[in-house]
Amino acid sequence: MLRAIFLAIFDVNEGPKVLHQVPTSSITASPSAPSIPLLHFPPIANTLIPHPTLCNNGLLQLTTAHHRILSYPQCISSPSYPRNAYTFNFCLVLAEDADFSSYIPVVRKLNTLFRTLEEQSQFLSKDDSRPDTGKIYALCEILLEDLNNYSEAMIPIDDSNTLNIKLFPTYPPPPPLYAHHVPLSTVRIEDLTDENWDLTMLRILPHINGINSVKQISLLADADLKLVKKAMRHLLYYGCLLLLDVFSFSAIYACTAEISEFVENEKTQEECARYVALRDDNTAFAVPRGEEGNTFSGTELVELYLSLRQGLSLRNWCHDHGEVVSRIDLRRFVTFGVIKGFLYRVHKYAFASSKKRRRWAKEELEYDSRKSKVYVPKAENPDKSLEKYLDGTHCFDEICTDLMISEKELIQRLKAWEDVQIICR
Amino acid sequence: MASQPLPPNPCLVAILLVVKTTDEPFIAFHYPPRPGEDNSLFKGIFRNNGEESTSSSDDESQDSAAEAPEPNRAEVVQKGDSPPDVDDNGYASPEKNNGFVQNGSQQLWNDLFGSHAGLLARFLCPAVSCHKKRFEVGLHDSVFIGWPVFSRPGGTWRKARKPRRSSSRSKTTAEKTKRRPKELGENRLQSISGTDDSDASRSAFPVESQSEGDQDMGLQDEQDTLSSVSRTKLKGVNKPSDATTVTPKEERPLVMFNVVCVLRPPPLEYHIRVKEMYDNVVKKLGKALRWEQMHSNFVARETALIASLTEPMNNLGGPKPPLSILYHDLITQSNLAKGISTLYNSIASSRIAHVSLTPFSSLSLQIPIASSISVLPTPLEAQLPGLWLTTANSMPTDDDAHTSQLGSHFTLLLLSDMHSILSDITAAASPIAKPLTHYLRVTSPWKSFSQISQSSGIPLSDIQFLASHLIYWRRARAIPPLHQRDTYIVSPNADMRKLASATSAFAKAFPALPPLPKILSLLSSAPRPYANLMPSKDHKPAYMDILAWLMRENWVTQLRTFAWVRVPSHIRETVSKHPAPSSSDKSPKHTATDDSDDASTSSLGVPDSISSSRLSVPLSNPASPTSSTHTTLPFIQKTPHSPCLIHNPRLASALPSRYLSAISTHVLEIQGEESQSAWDKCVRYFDGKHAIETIPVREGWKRKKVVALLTGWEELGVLVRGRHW
Repeated sequence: MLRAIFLAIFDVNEGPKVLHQVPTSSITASPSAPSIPLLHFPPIANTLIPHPTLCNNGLLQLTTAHHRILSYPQCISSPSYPRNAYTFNFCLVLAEDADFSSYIPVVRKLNTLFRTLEEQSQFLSKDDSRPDTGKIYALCEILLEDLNNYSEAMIPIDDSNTLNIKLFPTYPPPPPLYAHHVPLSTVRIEDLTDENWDLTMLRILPHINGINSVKQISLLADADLKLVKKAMRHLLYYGCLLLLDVFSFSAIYACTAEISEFVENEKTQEECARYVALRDDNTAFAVPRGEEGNTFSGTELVELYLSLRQGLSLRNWCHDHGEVVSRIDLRRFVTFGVIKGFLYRVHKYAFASSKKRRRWAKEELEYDSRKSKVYVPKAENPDKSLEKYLDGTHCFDEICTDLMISEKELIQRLKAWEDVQIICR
Repeated sequence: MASQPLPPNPCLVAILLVVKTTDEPFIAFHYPPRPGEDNSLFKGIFRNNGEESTSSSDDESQDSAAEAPEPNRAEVVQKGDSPPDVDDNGYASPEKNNGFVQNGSQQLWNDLFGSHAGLLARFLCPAVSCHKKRFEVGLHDSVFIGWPVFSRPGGTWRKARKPRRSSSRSKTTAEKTKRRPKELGENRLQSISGTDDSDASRSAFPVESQSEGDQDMGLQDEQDTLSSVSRTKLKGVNKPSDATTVTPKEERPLVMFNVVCVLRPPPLEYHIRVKEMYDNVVKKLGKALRWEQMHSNFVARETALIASLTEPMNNLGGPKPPLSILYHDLITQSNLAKGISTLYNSIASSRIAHVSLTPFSSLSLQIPIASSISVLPTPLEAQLPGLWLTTANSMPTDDDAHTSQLGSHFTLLLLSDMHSILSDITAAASPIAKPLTHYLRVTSPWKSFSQISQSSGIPLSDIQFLASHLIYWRRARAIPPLHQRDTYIVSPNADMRKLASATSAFAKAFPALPPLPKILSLLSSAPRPYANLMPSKDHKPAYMDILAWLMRENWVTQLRTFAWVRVPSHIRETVSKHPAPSSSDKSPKHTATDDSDDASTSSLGVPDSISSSRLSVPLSNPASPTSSTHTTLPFIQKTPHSPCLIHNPRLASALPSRYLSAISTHVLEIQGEESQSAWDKCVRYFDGKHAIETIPVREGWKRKKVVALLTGWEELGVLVRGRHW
C-alpha cells in the first residue's frame, strides 16, 4: 500500500527540494494544509538527491520515521541546464515493514520514463507549474490511487507516451522437482489455457491427475522428461501444483504432529468424509451413497488415520481394516492426509557402505583387466546399475522410477548386495 | 509458514566502519578487503585471524587476570602520537583526489560496491536525528544497516563530571532498583546470556560492578547517571585507557561512528534477515562500542590507528602495499579491525562471534538459529534437513508455563563433548564458571532437571538458568530425558546426505558396536521401545550412549504418544437417556439440540463428532452452507449415538463433562476403584497435547502401571491413542 509519491529535484537556488507530493503536504508541511508530514525531509534530502556519481545507478531505498522510501535518482548532464546538470527523483513512500519488492519495478519505470521524456523534450525542467499543480502532479495523483485501488495503472502522458504499470507479486523459486513426484493441480488449469501456451505444457496437462508421476506423465505425453520438468516448475512457481508421492500398497504412511489439528477440526473431517467415500462410477461428483453407509463419521476417520504408523505398509493396514477398505477410496484417503499435512510418507532408503561399494567396483575392474573371453557374471553378483543409488540419499520411489522397476524387483536386486541396510525415514 | 524457521542465511557481504570527525565522514575500515568479490586471495590472513580469534577471548581474559595492561599502555602511547598527522590525509577525502580520479590499486582501495568510498561514507553518515536509531539504506540489491552514534553537542563523549557526585549516585541506585525487575523479567534467557560473555572477560572488575556493566549495555538512555557509575568502576582498573582520553591533541575529535553491516538478502526474506542482523549484531555491537568510546575513547583511538596504517593507500602515486599485507597489519595491530574481521567471518558462516575489543571487554554475538521444528516441511517448502523434529518444546506445558522449554521434566543434551565445553568455560573465566562446571559434571541426558537437582543439591532454578545459558550459546539442547522404554524412530527430517560421513564418525565413537546404518535400519521397523534393540542388559550403557549420539546428530526423534477421550456409543446413549437435572424435562430430541449448542458455544467445539453436528444441523443451523450436502444422510439416524471424541477434557463444557463423569463411572464398574481414580487423574492429559510418556514422571507412577492402565482403557473404548514426534 503506497503512502505517498513525491518528486524531489535539485533546485539551483534552493538545493534539494520536494516539487510535487501526493497527498499534498505529506512530505513537507505547508502553512495552508493542517496535516502533519509522514516524515521529515531535510535530513534525507541529500540522500535522495545524491552526488551525481550515485545517480543513474539503480535503486536507492532508505527508511526513516517508520517509512520506507523507494527511489531511483536520475541525473542528466547537459550544458543546457544551469550548473550543467538536472537531478530529479520520483520517490515512493511505503510503510517500513511492508513488502516492497513489487514496487521496485514501479519506481524504476517511473524514473526511467521521465528521464527519457526529459531528454527528449525537457518534459520536467520546462514544466513550470507551481508545486502540487500541473500535469506531473496529476499523474502522481492518479498513479497513487490506481496502484492502491487496482494494483495497476495506465496513464497517458502525451500523444505518444503512456505510463503502463502493474504490480506483480514476488514468489519464491519453485522447489526441486524429481521424476518420482506426483503432481496434483490445485486449480483447473484447463480453463486457463489457450492455444498460445507452450506445446509441452498443453501435452502434459491432461495427465496431471494426482496419480501419474512426472516420469509417467512424460511417457504418456510422449514428451522429453527435461521439458516436462521445466513446464511443471512453471506451474509450481505459480502455486498451481501440489507434489505427492507415488501411491502403492507397499508404501508406509504415518501421522505428523498436525494430526491433533485434524482431530479438533470438524470441518476438515467433514471435508475428508466427503472426499474419501467411494462413489458411483457413473456420477462423478455425486452425493455419496448414504444408504449403504459409505460415509464416515469424524471419529471413525480419526481412528483410521491414527492406526497408520511407521513400519506398517498400506497392504498390511488393509488386512487389519478389511471391512473399511470396501467402502473407502484408499488413494484419496492417503492423499487427503498428505495434502493437509497430517500424514507423511515414510520413504525407504538403501545404504551400502562405501567400502563395500568400492570393492565391487574393483572386482569389476579386475574382471575387465583379465579380459576373459567369456565373462559370465555370477548369479549373486550385484547389479551395477544400483550402485549409485546406495548412498542413502535416494529413496525407493526415486530408484524405481529411474530404473522403471517395481519395488519388489528392487528388493530382489538388492538381495544380491551383501551388506545393504534399508532405512525408513 | 510464518512459524516455520528459515535456514540460517546471514546474507552478510561486508562490515564497514563509518567515522566522522568534524570534517567529512569516511570509511575507516571495511572487511572483507574486497566486498562482494572473491576474497580467496586473502584466505591466509583469514585463517590466521580465525585461529587467533577463537582463542583470543581466552587469551585476553587470562592476560587480564594476570597482568595485561602493560603492553596495552605502550600501544596506547604510540597511538596517541599518531592522530594529528593521520587525520589530515588519513582517509579518502573526495576533495583531495577529486573523487573520480582512479587508477589501478587506488580503485581497489577506494571503490566499494561500485561507488567511491568517500561518497559512500557521506551516504552512510545520517543526520544527528538518527542518533542511536536504526539506520537502513539500500543501494541496488545491497542494504546497509547501522546504529549511528554521535558525540554530545559539545563534542565530548561523556557528560561532564558533576560536582554533586553523591546525589547522582543515589539516583543511579534508585534507577537501578526500579529497572532491575523489569530487566530480569524480560526474556531472561536472552538478556542474561547476551551480556554474560562481556562480563566474563571483564573479570578484572569487582564483582558487584559486573551487573552494572550489564545495565550500562542495556540502558544507554540513562547515560548521564550511568556514566558516573562506570567511572567509579573504571577508576581502579582502567587507568591506562583513562589516560589516553587526555593525551591526543584533539584537533578533530570523533563526532560520529557507525558500524554498518552490508547485506544482500533475498527479496522475500528481506525483512526477516535485516531485522535479525540489526537486533542481534548491529545494535549490540554499536552499544558495546559506544560504551568503550565513552569510557576509554576506544573508537577514536582505533580509528586513528587504522588510519595511520591505511595512509599509504591514499597517497596518490606513492608505493602501495598489497591489500593482504595491509590487512594483516591492520588485524594484528588494531583490536577494532580484528574484532570486525572476526565478527564478519563468524556471522557470515552463522557461527557465534567472540569479539574482544579491549583486554577488559569482549562480547559474543550471534544470530540465534532454530534448534528444532515441529512441522515436517512438505516438498513445496524450504527443506531444513538435519534439524530436530519434535513438538516436545513447542507444545504448552501448563504446569511450568513460564519456562515451557525448560520445564523441570526436561534435561540437557550437550552438543559437543563435555571436555571441550569445560575447557572453554575455564578459559573464559566467567563468573558463573564454577556453578557451570559443577552442573556439567552432574548433568546427564537420561535424568530430568528435577532429578538432577535432587541428587546434586543444585536448586532447580539455578539449573534452569545454567541450562538456558548453555542452550543460548549453542552448547546444548533441551530434550525430554532419554529412556530405554521410550520409542525412537529415524527422524523424517534426518539429513541423509550426511549418512556416509556420519557412519565413519559413528564407527570411531563406537568401534565395537554395529555400524550406524545397521542401527538406523533396526530403528526403521515398526516402532517399539528402544530397549528392544539392546542385545543384552550389559549393552545398556553403550546403547544409551548411542541414543544420545543419534539424538545429538538428529538421526532419531522420539515417537511420543498422544491420546484423546473417546465417548463410546453406549455412554452417549446413557447420558441422553438420563438428562442433566437442569434440563430433565427435555426430550432426547432436545438433548441433541443442546448437544450442538454446546458444540457451537464452547470454544472447544466439543461433542465435535461429525455425526452429532450433522444430526443437529437441520435443527439448529438450517442456514449453514454445508448443511445441504449433509441433511440427507439416513445412516446417522440408524445409530444416533455414534462415538465421539473430547478434545480438551480439562475445560469440558456441560455435555462433555457429563460424558466424562459417565465414563468415569463406567471405568469404576468394569475395572474397579483403582483404575477409576487413575482415570480421573489422567483424563486431563488426554487432550492430544500432553505426551503420555510424561505421565509417569508427572504423577510419579511406574511406567508399567501407566502402560497397563492405558491398554485397559483403550480396550474399554474410552481412549484413542496416536503417535507422532
